Amino acid sequence: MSGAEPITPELFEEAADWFIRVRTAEAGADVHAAWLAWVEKDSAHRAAFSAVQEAWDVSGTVQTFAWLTPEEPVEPKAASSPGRFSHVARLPARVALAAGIAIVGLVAALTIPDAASRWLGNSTEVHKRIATGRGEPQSAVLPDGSRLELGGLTGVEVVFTSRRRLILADEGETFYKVHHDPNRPFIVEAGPVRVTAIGTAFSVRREGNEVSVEVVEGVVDLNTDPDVQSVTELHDAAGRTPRVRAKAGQRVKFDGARFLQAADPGAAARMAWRRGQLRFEEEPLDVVIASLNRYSTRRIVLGDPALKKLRFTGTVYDDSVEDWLQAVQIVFPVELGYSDPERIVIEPRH
Amino acid sequence: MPGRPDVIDPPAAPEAGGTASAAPTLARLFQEHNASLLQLLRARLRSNDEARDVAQEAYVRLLQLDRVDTIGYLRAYLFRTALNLASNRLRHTAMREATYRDPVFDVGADDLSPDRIALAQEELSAVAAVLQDLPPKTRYAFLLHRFTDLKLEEVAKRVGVSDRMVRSYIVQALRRCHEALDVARDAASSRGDPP
Repeated sequence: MSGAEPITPELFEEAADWFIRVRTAEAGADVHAAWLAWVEKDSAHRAAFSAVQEAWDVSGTVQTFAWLTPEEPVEPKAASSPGRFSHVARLPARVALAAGIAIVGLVAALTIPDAASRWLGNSTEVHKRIATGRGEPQSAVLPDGSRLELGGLTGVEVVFTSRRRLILADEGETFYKVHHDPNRPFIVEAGPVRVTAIGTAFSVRREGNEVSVEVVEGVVDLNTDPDVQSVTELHDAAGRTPRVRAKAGQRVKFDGARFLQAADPGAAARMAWRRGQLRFEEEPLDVVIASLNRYSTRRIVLGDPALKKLRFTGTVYDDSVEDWLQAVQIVFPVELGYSDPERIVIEPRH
Repeated sequence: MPGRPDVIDPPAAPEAGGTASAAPTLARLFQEHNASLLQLLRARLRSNDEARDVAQEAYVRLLQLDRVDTIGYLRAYLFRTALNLASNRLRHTAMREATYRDPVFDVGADDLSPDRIALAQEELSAVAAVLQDLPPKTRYAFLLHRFTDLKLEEVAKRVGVSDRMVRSYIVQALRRCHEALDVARDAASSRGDPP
C-alpha cells in the first residue's frame, strides 16, 4: 500500500501484538506510552501498524454468519427436511407484490445447530434464507466462503450439510462465486433445473420454469429435477437424467422442457445485470417483465396473454425501467395503461 | 477507500483565554504525535472520520486547559482524553450498531465504485478463504476476538488456551489476512486493474 518496503512477517507480528494490546479498553497509560515510543521510533513501525489496521478492517467485512453468539440457545435443526422452496420461500416476494410496495432488505431465518462447533470444524450445517427487496440487489458470503450476489426481488434458501451445499433458488437472478470444495458439491436447484458446480462462478436466472444459466468461470453440470415429468423424454439411453455441461463463457437456457445452448452473449453482455443492466436476447415479453418487476417500483403486467409471444432483445438499465416502457411502445404494437396507480398495464394497441 | 488517517487540520488556537504559552506547546505536541494519536484512535474506533473527530475534540479540550504543564504531562493528558472520548463514543454507538448491523449482507460495500467492488470482492474472498483455512482453534479465537466484545481472557477461556496463546492466534490470523491481501493486490495490479 505505502509501497516503501515490504513489511517482514516478524515486524508485522510485532505490530499486530501492539495492536491487540493498545486497542483493548483495559490498556493503561503505560501501555499507550510504550506503544507511542515504539510507533514513533521507526517509520517502518508505523507502516506495519497501518497494515495491521488494514488487515483488521478487511477481516471485519468478511461475513460471519451466526457463529457470533455461540452461547445463545439454538433451535434444533430438522436435518432431514430441507423442504421444497415452492411455498415457504416464495412467500416474501408474494407478500411484497400483494402489498405493492418495495420490500426493504432481507428475510433471514438462521438455524445453526451449534455455531461454535461448526467453526471448530465439527459441523458444517447451515439453513438460512436470503432475500432481497425490489430494486435492492445485495451480496452475501456463505459460511464456506462462497459468495452470492442477488438481483432485485430475488430469494434463495441456503441448505448446507456436511455432504453437500444446496441452494434452493426462488425466482430471480443470483450470481454464484463458489468456493472450491471437491467433497461438498455445490448445487443450485432452480425450479426444474439442477446446476452442479465445483469451484466456479456462474449466474442463474429463473422466471417460473424458465431458467437461464451463464458460466463465467469453470464448468457446471445441468440436469433436470427427476420429479419434473415433462422432461423425462430427455433421459439418455442408459436412463440417466439428462445432463448438459456448460463451460466458461457459455449460456444455457431451459425453456421449461428442453435445454438450449444460447449464443454466447459476449464478454460485455455477460453478467451485465451485475452492473445494473438487464440483458435480454429473444426473451418472451412476460419473462422480460418478470425481470423488470424486480426493479420497477410500479408493477408491470401484461394486459393480454397473447403479448407473451412477443420476443424482446436488448438491454434495460435497472434504474430506467420507465424509459424502456416508453421504448417498448415504439418497438411493439402495445400501449401502456396507467389507470391503476400501483400497476402499469401493457396492452395491445388498437 | 478510506483516506489515510494521518492528516487533520490543527484546531485554531483560542483568540484569548487559556495561557499565552499553551498554543505553541500544544501545536508542537500536535505536530509530533498527531499521526500516532490518529492511528491509536483508529485502532479503537471504526473509521478514520471518527478518529479525526475524536482527535479534534481532544485537542480542543486541551486548549481549554487553564495551565500548561510539561509537554510530557500534556502528551499523557492528550492521549488519555482522546481515549476516554473514544470509549464514550463506542458506548454510545454500541447499542445502535447492535440493532442496525445487518447479519447477512455486506453493508458499506455499496458506496464503492464498480471497479473497487470487483477488487474488493477478490480481496474479500481471499481473506475469507484464508480465515476459513486457519486451524480451527486459531480461527475460532480470531473470530471471537474480532467480532465480539469479549475480553482476551474470556476468549482464552472459551478456546481453552492461555491468554498468550490467544494473542498469538490473533496475530497469526491477522498476518495471514495481510498476506492474502498482498497476494490479491499483486494479482490485480499485474492484470492492470486500477489500484
